[in-house]
Amino acid sequence: MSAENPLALADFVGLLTRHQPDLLAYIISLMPGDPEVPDVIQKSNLILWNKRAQFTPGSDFRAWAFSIARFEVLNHLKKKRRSRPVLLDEELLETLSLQAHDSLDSHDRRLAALEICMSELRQQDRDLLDHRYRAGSDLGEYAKREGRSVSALSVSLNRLRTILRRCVTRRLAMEGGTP
Amino acid sequence: MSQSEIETAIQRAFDGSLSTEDCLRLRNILKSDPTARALYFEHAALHQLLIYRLSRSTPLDAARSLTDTRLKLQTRRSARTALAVAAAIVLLLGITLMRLLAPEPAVLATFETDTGARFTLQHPDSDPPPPSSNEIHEGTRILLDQGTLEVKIRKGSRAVILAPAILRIDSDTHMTLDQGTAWFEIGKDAAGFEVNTPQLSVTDLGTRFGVLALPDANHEIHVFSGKVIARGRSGTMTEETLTTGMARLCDPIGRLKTTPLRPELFLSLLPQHHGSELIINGGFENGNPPPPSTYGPRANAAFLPGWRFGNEIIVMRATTEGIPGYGEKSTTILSSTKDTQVGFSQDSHGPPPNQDNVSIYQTFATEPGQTYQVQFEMGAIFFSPSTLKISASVHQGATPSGPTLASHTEQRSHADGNGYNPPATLMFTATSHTSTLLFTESSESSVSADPVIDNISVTEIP
Repeated sequence: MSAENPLALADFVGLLTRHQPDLLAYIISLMPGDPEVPDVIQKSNLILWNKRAQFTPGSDFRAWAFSIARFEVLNHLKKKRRSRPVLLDEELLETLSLQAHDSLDSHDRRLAALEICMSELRQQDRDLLDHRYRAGSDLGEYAKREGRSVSALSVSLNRLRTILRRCVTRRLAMEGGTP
Repeated sequence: MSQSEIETAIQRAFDGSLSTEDCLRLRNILKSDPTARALYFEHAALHQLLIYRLSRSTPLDAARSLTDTRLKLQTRRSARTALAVAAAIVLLLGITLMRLLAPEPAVLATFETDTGARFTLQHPDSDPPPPSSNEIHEGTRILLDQGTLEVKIRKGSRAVILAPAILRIDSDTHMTLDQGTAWFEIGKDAAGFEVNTPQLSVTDLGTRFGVLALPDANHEIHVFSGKVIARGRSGTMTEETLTTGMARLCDPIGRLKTTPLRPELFLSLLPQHHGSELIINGGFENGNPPPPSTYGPRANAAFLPGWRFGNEIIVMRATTEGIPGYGEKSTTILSSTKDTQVGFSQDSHGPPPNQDNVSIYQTFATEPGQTYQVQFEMGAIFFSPSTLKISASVHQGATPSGPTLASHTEQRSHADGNGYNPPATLMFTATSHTSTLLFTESSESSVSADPVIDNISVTEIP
């Protein structure tokens, strides 16, 4: 790919755009609970961009992007392990990484299913999810405002996510696709 | 660990609150149990979706900007600009997750559109924002001809509007929707937010709701959560408080009548249009999936974002029995991608009385002098002998009434059987910066038989 060719450049940018949700899901799956996910996705995007000439148009962009992101995650985890234990050791990371390509697909259909599943929740439940994911803040402040304990909210949050997961899976299965 | 304990541990892992002891236990389970790994991936995907769906600013926001920029690049054809913009894009993609706590806009509202949207802003003030700005001031009128618009209004409210629409943002608690399909999520601080259509007034009491203000139809309110007060604006001016799951239409004398709740008529997010297509949503997959039904539901803006269409256009993915394809029971036809198709449901002898009803079209950016190839798949399903025809034509400018640049009629007869023809092509050379691709059913008789199309693309010919 020539960087001077705006059409090729546009195609590359299109691929990069299209695969952002999957790339984010992939990195989240390899760095569960890690606040530095944004840093790793940023680094991965920069490397993808810098290596764009190495990408063969028509080949599997998603697999290529995942392989580059995997190295970035590994680099990050090497540093991280020095400070505290993490869920994924190298063996588990390899196992999950191999499965991720097939397990993290159907983003658009999942999103459509989630939309319907969210609409079936009670307002107060949506508010809790909203606080957790929109504001991005911890549950302490919300617990104080709602007059509930943080542990009770954590239990509610887990219950809601389980409901949503089951609902999304069920809807995808009804469509006949892979959940 | 039981299944339920494993699921809780997985969620704690994604929340970053898993104890060291549980971390080691979960690690061993994930290594040995493929079912646990499948569950783990489902939660990873859900976590990403919730971030995408609920965060104020998501990686996809940057992606949308990026796609818009890409289209501009195609038009400008400046390699230098391309490099500079693309570099900025990569930075945007990276930093977007850091912007989850982006502050509320200081201006009344800001907007974004999906790729391919066509709109005009009419500013009431003498000092309007620059044309490239995405700011909306008090009284700004928006004419959305094609595509989808997302408006973020001060005090935490959000609206997603589908074309064709005409609206005005009057204040952070008031919008006038003269025409269009709109989904609203009202911020807690904006309770009392009011939406007025010519027929209907809706006052929010903390909720998510949708308003349909379509021409020549009764306007409708659909409440997805919370509570609103709805009131007819003329005649009897009936008023009613509606709660979650309720929907009403306003009849011609101002009475509110029960109507089924139909969330599928609205979009709550900007649709994603992939890749480098010049035509947006050429595969008809970017909107809400049409519910299974025999010969499909009538098209609406949420099923077909990016397209404009007549009253006899059908969007179908599967029959009532869940059989994929277009048709009924087990008799269906499938395009090469075996997914959503668009059908033309006129049912008459002779040419249709109003060809607009059996037409679907889209305007897209072109470069004068550049040659393009249009490709599409046409199929047909027959329950009586006839020959079905679809005319594809490209017109100069932003309407199908512009001068014709090229046309092609694809047909399939009863003798060919139910199914699809090989992809048809059509070449044209653009003469303006916008062109419009139109598909119209031109069959001489189509009683008990429907033509369908799918997988439309437009590519530049080098």
